[in-house]
Amino acid sequence: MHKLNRAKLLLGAPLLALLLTGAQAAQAGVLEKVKAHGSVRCGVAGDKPGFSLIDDKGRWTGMDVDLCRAVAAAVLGDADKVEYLTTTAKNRFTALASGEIDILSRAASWTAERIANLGVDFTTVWFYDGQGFMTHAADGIQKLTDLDGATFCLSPGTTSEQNLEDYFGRRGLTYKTVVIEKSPELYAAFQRGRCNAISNDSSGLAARLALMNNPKDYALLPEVISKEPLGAFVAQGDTVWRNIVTWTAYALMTGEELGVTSDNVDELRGNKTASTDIARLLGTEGTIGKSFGLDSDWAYRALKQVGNYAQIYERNLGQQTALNIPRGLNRSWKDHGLMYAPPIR
Amino acid sequence: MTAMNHALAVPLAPPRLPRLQRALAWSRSHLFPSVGHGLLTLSVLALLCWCVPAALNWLVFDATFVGSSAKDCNPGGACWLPITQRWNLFVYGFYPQAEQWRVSLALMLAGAAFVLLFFKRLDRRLLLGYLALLPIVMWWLLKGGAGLPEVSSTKFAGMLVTVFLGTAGMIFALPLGILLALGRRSKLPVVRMLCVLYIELVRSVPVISLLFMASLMIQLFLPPDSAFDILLRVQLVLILFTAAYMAETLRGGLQNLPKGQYEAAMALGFGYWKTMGQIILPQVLKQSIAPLLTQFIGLFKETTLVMIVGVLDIVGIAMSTAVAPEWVEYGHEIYVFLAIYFFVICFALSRYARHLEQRMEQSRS
Amino acid sequence: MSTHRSPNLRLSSVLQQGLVLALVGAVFYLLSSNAALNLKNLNIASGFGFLSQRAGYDISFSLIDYTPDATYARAYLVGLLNTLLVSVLSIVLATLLGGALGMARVSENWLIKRLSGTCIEFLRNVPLVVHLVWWYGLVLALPGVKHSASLFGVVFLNNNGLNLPWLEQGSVVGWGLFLMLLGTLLAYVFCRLKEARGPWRGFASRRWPALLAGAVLLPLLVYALSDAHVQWEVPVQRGFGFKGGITLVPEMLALCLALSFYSASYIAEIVRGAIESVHRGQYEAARALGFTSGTTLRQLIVPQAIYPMIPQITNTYLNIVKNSSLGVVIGFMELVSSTGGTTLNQTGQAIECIALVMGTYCAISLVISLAMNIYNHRIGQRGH
Repeated sequence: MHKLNRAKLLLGAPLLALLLTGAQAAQAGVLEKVKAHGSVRCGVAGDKPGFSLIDDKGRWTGMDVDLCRAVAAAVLGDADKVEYLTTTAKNRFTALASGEIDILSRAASWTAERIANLGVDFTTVWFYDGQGFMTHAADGIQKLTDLDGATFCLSPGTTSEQNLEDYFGRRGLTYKTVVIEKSPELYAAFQRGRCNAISNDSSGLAARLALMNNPKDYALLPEVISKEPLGAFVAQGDTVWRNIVTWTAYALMTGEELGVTSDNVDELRGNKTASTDIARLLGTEGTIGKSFGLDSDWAYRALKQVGNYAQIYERNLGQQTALNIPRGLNRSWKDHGLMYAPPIR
Repeated sequence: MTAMNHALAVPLAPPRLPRLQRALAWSRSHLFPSVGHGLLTLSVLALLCWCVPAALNWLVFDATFVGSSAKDCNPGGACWLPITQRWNLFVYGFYPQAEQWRVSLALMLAGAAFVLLFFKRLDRRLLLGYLALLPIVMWWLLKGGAGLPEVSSTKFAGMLVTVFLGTAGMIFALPLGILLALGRRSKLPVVRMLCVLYIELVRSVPVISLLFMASLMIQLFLPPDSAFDILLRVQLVLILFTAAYMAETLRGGLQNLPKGQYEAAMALGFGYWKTMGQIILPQVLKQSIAPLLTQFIGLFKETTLVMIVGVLDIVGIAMSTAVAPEWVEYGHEIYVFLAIYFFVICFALSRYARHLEQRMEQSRS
Repeated sequence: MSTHRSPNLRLSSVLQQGLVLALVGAVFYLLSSNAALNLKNLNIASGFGFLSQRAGYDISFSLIDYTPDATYARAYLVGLLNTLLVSVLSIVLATLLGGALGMARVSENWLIKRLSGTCIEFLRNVPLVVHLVWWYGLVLALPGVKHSASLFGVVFLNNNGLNLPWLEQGSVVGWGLFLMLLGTLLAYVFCRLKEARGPWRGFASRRWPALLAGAVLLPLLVYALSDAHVQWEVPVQRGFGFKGGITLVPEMLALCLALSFYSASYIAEIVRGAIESVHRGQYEAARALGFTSGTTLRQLIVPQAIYPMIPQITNTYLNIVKNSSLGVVIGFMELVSSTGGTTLNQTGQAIECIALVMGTYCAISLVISLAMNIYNHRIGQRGH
């Protein structure tokens, strides 16, 4: 019988050791971990056309994906050195806060509550959105208040449930909800008439509308009931990493502003007569990259391998794609949009 | 009643009857034993004649198997292009193309485990050795290291995940299940109580809640910065879950063993572990192969739930295909494919388990 | 291991157990101290205080009054009741279906036997998730609200659910159900007392008419004596859906159907096994005595087959309750999608929410196991 104990001890000892040593491990920065690991671990949604989706060849595509690729290019020199993890609406912030992923690029909204309560930090707005509504054209809905008593299809764990309650509950209107996590089921439910309206980020709705084979049967309502600034989150407490992700995004926006594309970036870098702004962006002047803990070519690599913001947008959501979502608020500030990157200098 | 008597009488007729007459007699006794049954048979036949050809037409004859985009789909039948176009994704996930032979090899090794169970005269130690080494070899093949290039587990998806979770889950759960089953029959009250508590607790909650635990809670209980990835956490939870069910299966086997076996071992002066390891467990395991295989089928089906916590198993890949712009209209085909995939594997395994069980019963009697 | 334990051995066994306990305790301590540290670092609240806060989300189907203004505790209760309702409905439907399939499996009609065999194999070898997605698609393919299929103009079926007439006052329904249960129980006790006097006549003694009478008569009696006014509310199409009555949402219908068909395949196999386990000679004896096949089944085979079935059937029922948690896939607000879903998402208190869900399932399982054990014991005492 003594052996029983020994066996249990043998089983238990490594477990204890693991628990104890883990507790004493020093907290390394995300940048060091990423470099040691050789890849950026990027949490994505995985089922949002135009934002993060797998194509037939098994490649990841989308706006959210390209942000992670740009960070990988800036940090590791290769945009393909990204590991994608599909996160759910439920586990996304836990995964980030516990260090399972380095970036959460999942079209999540920036809200005060998330920053205050979830142990995560926002980087910068990558896509300006708002909660919109799609209805069945046959119902003849003109405005939101016509939907008194209607049933709404929603996805869970997002801000949309609360927004809806804020809008309808305040006005004393009644409504019902059907909350489904998996987006094929959610849209099937709406299209089959389970719900009178589906409420989601307007960009997502527009994208889906473009994909339906009978888009005339559905109508997008003009009203948008919330502000949804979407972008990447990082774990709280690591300013170095947060800066890298934030400024990589800014570099891509600046690229659009200065007319630097993946096609002309090499030429512009060699061109001594290019403006100082371009020289600073591409690292031929100044030491911005080094101050971030990277080298001076960081933005050059991101632009070269992924393209600037306009290119990314066109590739994933633009007129050439099936989605064809107008840029709207996401135009550069020079074109009266909201995309305004702070100066890189 | 008279009809029934006739029905009984017919098969006793001399075997020399012509074929047609024999067929008639058979159909009379098996299809039209009474008026009620005759009507039932006819209506069922009519129903089958109506829906089987329609289903076959949709599934096979009018279906599209070859093509490269949704434009090639025949509108009259099923369009299997989302599956054929994404076959690599469904089987290998994001595994690097050059290394995919490793996945194929691992899948084959896992399949071979079932074939090995078939051979009656195979040395038991060889089988156990194979089963014990299988997850380690699979792990090495899939993850790499020691000579093979390393592949991150974030590249795992599709069938690969389903098979890996099922096989490794089952094999790793076996030792834990054995310990729990023994613990539940232990003479030490504390050990017994702890085992009972664990087994009953795990068995009374849904797998989803355990998976949510894997997805949301395990990191909270680990020291900061020591989180391991979701696939492993899910695997861990599935092992812990399966072990509890397995303990109950094995406990049944332990109880069924004649008491004489224990007493004989004691009389020979064997200690507890020697008795269990050399006398009791080999017999129990041998008898439990069929129920354990049935349990594996259950686990294999349960692994589909991991897609709820964001692991891209074959259902996850299917769902992601169902939202892809090009294939958004072909959800039905994708789910039918899933149903057929699971049916084929689980049905074959359950037949196999039944066969092993029958053989075991024959050898016993 | 010997029957006479020396004090030395006893001491060592105490020591061993103490060690095991200490080890388990240490692991628990480490885990909980880690959790405390992590929760503090992540700034996540702990404790069950959130239960009294405003939930702020809607639940599409609820047996009790619920609005987004209700508390998280109320949302939990709604989820629990939905879980129980779906489980009970599915258990009843699965038992009926499974019984029928199992009987068909041993039918003398070859075609029926094979067909039910095929059905059973297909149903049980496909994962429940796939069943669920498929059924949900089918339910949603029903006609829309404006083209509802109606039965006598009181029951409406469309892809927004099954609309049934319901009593105007919700509380009356609760009382009615309670009285029905009470009536059944009284009738049962009455039957037992009556039978206890005479010799046991097997399962053939028809108890169900008495039970039915009890279930119907007691509520009617109480209704007649009280001054309650009950009015049936018939669903009427208005606006986007139906007003009045009760609507069983499609998510619930799909979940019930998927669970019932999936579990029916297991029950069918159990029934088949049990019937086949009854010795062949018994059929022949019954036949020789001139019993019809229906009588043979009802009076001879079922009573013998039912006893060995109980543990397996209990397991299947428990699985139905546990599997009802898959409602989360299609968004039916049962326990896992209300407390383990939206509540968890909104409060971020994963440990508390998951513990609450798991604890509740443990309790339900315990109650079902206990009830079935008692039933098993009862039947076991009679004639076995």
